[in-house]
Amino acid sequence: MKNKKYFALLLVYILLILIIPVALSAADLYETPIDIISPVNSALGGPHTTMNSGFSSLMNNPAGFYTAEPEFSIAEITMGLKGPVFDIANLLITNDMAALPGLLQGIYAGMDLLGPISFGYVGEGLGFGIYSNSYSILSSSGPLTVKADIGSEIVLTGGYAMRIPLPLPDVNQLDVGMLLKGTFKGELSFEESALNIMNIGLSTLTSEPFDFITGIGVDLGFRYTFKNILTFGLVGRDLYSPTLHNVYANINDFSNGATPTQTLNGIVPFSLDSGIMYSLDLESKNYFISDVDIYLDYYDILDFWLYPELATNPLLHIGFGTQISMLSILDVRAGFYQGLLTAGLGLDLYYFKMNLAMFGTELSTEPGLQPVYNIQLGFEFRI
Amino acid sequence: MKKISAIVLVVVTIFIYTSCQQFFTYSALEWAQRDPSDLPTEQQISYAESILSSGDTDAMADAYAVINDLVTEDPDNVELQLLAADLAIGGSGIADAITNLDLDDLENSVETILADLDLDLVAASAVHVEAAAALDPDAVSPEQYLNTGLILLAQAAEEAGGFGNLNADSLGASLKSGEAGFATLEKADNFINLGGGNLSDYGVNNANL
Repeated sequence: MKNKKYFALLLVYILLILIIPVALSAADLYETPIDIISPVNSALGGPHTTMNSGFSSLMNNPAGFYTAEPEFSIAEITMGLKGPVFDIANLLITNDMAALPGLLQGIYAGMDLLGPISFGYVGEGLGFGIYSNSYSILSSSGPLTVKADIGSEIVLTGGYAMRIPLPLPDVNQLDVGMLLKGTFKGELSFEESALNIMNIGLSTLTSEPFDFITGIGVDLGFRYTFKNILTFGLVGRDLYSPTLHNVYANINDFSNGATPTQTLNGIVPFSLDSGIMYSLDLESKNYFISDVDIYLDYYDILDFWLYPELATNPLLHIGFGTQISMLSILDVRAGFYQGLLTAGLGLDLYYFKMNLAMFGTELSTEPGLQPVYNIQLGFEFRI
Repeated sequence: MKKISAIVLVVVTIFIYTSCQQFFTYSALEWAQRDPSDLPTEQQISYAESILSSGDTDAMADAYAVINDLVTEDPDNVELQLLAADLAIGGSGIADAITNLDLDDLENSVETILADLDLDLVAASAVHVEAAAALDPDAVSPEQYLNTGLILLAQAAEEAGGFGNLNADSLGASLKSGEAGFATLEKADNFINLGGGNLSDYGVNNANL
């Protein structure tokens, strides 16, 4: 009976992999994957597939739900800033318009806000979450042209993990998990010549096309632990994640229930991620440092084959991070991702957890061509 | 006291933010950048698109050479034509030039801009936008028409011997058909109109257009 269950699971996995080429060819456009900002993941060099440290790593690997310490999330406020946002604020305050063209050349600046809705649970093989996420990005889309994207989304996720029995269960532990996700996203995007940027007003925003995107998706993950020291992870993200992309003439048309001017079928590109973790439990030997975790992952292994037009330099896929837990309340994190350094810390203040991350992200397809500085600060209310 | 604390907090935050910026944007893997001409076609295009948003003039000029080769092989590809046009505009140095524009001394500043521009790339960008417009006029965005129109305006000024020569002279005679720069000015006028602008917005009023 049990073997039949595993065989059925394997069959579903193979079926989903076979769907990918068909789904990719039927899609009109690629959608960006769901991105729940997390200062923990950012400071550690990406969403490591072997990580199962509670609700913050809900999206990392669904197989981790089986061994994750139970955690209930009530709410969260996490803010992220990217690019020269303080330079822009300074320019607006001082009204130094002569500096504007120089600032807009190759600009990428934005703000993310996760929460206050960040409700869910992880543990005992189960994981689910509801998030609200908002973002705004100002980017250079070409010479003398800037693009603004302003959007908000609601994300629903839920998944289940189970253990596959192996010989010597104290030494070998293999877990498998599946996560289903859904998203409702509204986005306002428009381009403007940098020479006319100061003429943008509220009327510009209400007259530009409005996109409403609904999507579903499925992730499948494996997690193997050897002697509680070494852990291997493998995650197929967005095995099949189609979206329906409706374009409305403007935001008023959307709110009035008008017919969309265009309907597109999108697909979130499949990403196969793999990683390894080395854990050191020092709690019984060292009063100051309780845990040390070292993570190394390679993300999006098959991009060059499945969607070469989106593929980036293979070295940009490497994510490395280390977390040292001290006195059971302080986590110090450092790593690198996309060839850029990452760092951060976490403080458990009993009533809430505070996490801070500072890191770089590479916007180009090659290392070092367009690095952007990011900072994230989060306050998590969890029990 | 509270106010002072708030100010100190803001200053410290800005100081920490800006001082960290260089540290976290230093790439240890810069040596691993691949030569775009060796990449498969799809990756050459995505490389060029990412360069386009980087604002790096020299990199855009190099990427233009790669994409222009693809355009030569596939001249009916509208997207490639427009990508080549944008790279050519970016690679010409127009963004750098506008950054250095002195609004208090516009005429001399424009002359300096003209001296710094790569006019061959300027001309190439207009050729690509024209080719794309001929294949599918709707594919060209108003911003692309406007930006190309403005660059052609600068080119017309160069051909006419100065920005002031595009307008009426002291006797009220405007630059006319057959004179150096007029054909380019006509083209600039058309492109700027398609981009939703007007030549007069940029200080040019020519009675012969």
